[in-house]
Amino acid sequence: MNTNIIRSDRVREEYQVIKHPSGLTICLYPMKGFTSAYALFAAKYGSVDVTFKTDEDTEFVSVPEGIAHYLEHKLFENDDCDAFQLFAKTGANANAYTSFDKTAYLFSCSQHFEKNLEILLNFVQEPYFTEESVAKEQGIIGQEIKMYEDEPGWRVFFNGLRTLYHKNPVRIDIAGTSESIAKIDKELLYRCYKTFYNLNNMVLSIAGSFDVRKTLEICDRLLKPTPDLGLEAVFPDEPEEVKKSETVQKLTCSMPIFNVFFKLPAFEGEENTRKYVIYNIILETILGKTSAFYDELLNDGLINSNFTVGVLNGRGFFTLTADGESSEPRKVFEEIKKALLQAKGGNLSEKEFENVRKKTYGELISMLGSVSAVATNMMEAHFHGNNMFDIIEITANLSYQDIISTLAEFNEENSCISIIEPI
Amino acid sequence: MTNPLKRERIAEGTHFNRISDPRFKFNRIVFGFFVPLDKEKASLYALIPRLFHRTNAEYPKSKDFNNYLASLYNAKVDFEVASIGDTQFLGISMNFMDDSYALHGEKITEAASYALFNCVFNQPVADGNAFDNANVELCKREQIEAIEAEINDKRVYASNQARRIICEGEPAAINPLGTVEKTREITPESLLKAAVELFSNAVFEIICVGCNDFDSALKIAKEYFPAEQFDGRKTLPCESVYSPLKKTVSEKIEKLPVLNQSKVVLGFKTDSKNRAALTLMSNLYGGTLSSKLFLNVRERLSLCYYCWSRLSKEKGVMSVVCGVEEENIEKAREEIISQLELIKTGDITADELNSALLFEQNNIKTVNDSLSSLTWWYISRIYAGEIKSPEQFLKNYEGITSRDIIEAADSMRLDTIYVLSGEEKCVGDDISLQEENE
Repeated sequence: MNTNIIRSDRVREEYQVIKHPSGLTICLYPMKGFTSAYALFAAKYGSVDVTFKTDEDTEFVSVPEGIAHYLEHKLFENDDCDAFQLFAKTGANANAYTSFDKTAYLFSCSQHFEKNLEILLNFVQEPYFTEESVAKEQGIIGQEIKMYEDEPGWRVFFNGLRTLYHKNPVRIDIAGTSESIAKIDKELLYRCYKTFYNLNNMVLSIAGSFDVRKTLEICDRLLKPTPDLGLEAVFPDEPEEVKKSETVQKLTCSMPIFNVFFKLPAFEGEENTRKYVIYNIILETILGKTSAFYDELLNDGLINSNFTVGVLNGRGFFTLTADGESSEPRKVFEEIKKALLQAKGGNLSEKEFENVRKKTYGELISMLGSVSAVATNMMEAHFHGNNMFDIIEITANLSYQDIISTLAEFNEENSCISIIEPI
Repeated sequence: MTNPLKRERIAEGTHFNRISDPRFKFNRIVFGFFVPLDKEKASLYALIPRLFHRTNAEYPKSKDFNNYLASLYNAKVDFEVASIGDTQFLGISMNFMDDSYALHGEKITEAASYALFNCVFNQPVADGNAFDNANVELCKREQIEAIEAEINDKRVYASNQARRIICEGEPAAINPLGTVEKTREITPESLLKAAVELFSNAVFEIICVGCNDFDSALKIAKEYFPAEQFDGRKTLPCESVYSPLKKTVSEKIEKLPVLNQSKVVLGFKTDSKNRAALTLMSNLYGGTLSSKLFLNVRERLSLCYYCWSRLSKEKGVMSVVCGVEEENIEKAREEIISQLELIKTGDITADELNSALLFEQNNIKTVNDSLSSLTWWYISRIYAGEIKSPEQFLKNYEGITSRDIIEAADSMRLDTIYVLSGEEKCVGDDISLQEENE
């Protein structure tokens, strides 16, 4: 068992990253004095992973959209009972989620930690699908899809990704569509499970109140070693330019809602984290609550305080976003591009950059006080190929010049807008 | 078992509460006002924390204030307007980092505390009788947009519409943000008058949680709340009463122009005051992922993605919310009612009762690990007049038996059936329509 202590002198914290003989990476962050523990057992497998092969395959395989999410739903069932019923006997709050590039099973508890960990490790490692149970789930997931079809805040985002990308599978709804999930059967689920739920492709991340020794004993006892299958998931080649500049949908809502996207190439490893921090600070400085742009548009009635900016990044995608509500979303889009262009021309305040850098640093420190945020950040950092303190160090050491040089390369015209208009 | 909360009266109807806990790296101060929900005044009062959180007299321009807060490492002033039963809660809060984590040794605590108290007590006032017109107009626009935006989240909208029918004629039916019409009527003068009134009538609670000892915050609070000035005031009583049982079930179907999934809300009322038993009964019925509603309406019948129950302890109201296909509304409704009937007849296993209890224990104990959960916990406990720590409160659930659960279920009366559905199904966006045709 290979153990690394990840330490930050700056925040006076540390955690362990263990490469377990089973192939699994385990991140452990005990938090003294806390009452609860939060554990995530996650696979590097999300909605974007629809084309893949392993050493056992001769050719790449394509599977229906939404299958990672479908698998997440079905994994809670095994041959004699449901994992939720087992967690009910301990009182833990258990759940799971599928994102574009990962699937995570989790629990939060303030008692019976070891028992809960056993349940988590067992059910995720024991798939049990029958034709009947797979068919039953179509009604439930079908309703989940329909629920989101009515939510303008959800639709505006996914419509935008379809406008931004030509082929990248991030443009597909995480849950798939009613048509795509109808193609899913138990064989396909087993196929995807065996490919992606390999311990070499997974991480166990735990933070809060728990005993490290007992945790590792449970891991030794329950983890089933799996050989590394040489998994390869591929994305189709994506053109640099956005697919279209605008899309519009009409739904029942109070006023137009918009999401603006700026397309960038994907980054990997530390560069991904570094660009994430830099672009977040660029957007916050130029368009965020401390900026002249925000102040003017708010006072002119073009935006309200729900306007936010951010970076959406993951495996194979990296995009900047600005979203909000406005009676004139196209005008806001033009103003955003204008403000970014002006900043590139040298109109970026060093003092405001410094304020935003401190704000970003403060946000990162605040997360260290949350059991769930620590466990989630360790998992994210592992999948991004770094540790959870790297982002704090990058932020603490960032200079104004770093921002200026990145901004100089940025093309604000490679962008699109998604709008939901009231019906 | 002691309560870590230190509570101190600093003036009439005004308390300073603090929990100092070295585990946290951040601190949180909430400045809470409690007033009875009143349809004539809800919009006015709701606008006050929205206005106060934007600026103060030291930083009258929000851009400058936001930059100042950012320079304090994401010191964040926020506001909250909510209803707790028949009471309107108005909160202004500040989260700020502990000084020891500052990159250049800056002192954050005192600066942040002053900034918050300045927001509450030191707003820019024009000619002594009005708030800043531009600020007020901006806040009015935002409040109107927030009221109108309720329709955007169909689950929230359906739940709120049902609550308005369930508690019709009672303060709890009033939107804590008030109405669009009343918000439009607000002027900078009427708002200042309302703020003065609020300071005369409201119950104040200052709640501080974090790694700081909050001595400096207490000192500032005493400066701003001089006892001689506040002791003469008369605070309005803030209580909630149970919603009275109705003789007939109210039914309403509302149609939106476009909706893909219908929402069904069933409202039940009780006159039982055994809140611990009611809570566990609601958990067992529809509060968890192993509850009867989850296992039957979702898992067995595959009718929905979500079907859950929630209890309003202040009003004695339990609501069940479910999203289903329009043709399955009746089936879902029958199953929801049938599962409650089963509890009434004693169809409860020892495991189900134990799970409902363990779930509650877990939720309550977890409160201790988050600044916002802890502050909200004490706001609720102070309002309920039972100021207990999470650990102390757990004792309320000791000795609850199956008999208590059956009685709690038996006390529930169906009050309201509300259905939200659509005239038509929605069509996709330009891109999806184009791709469908390709």
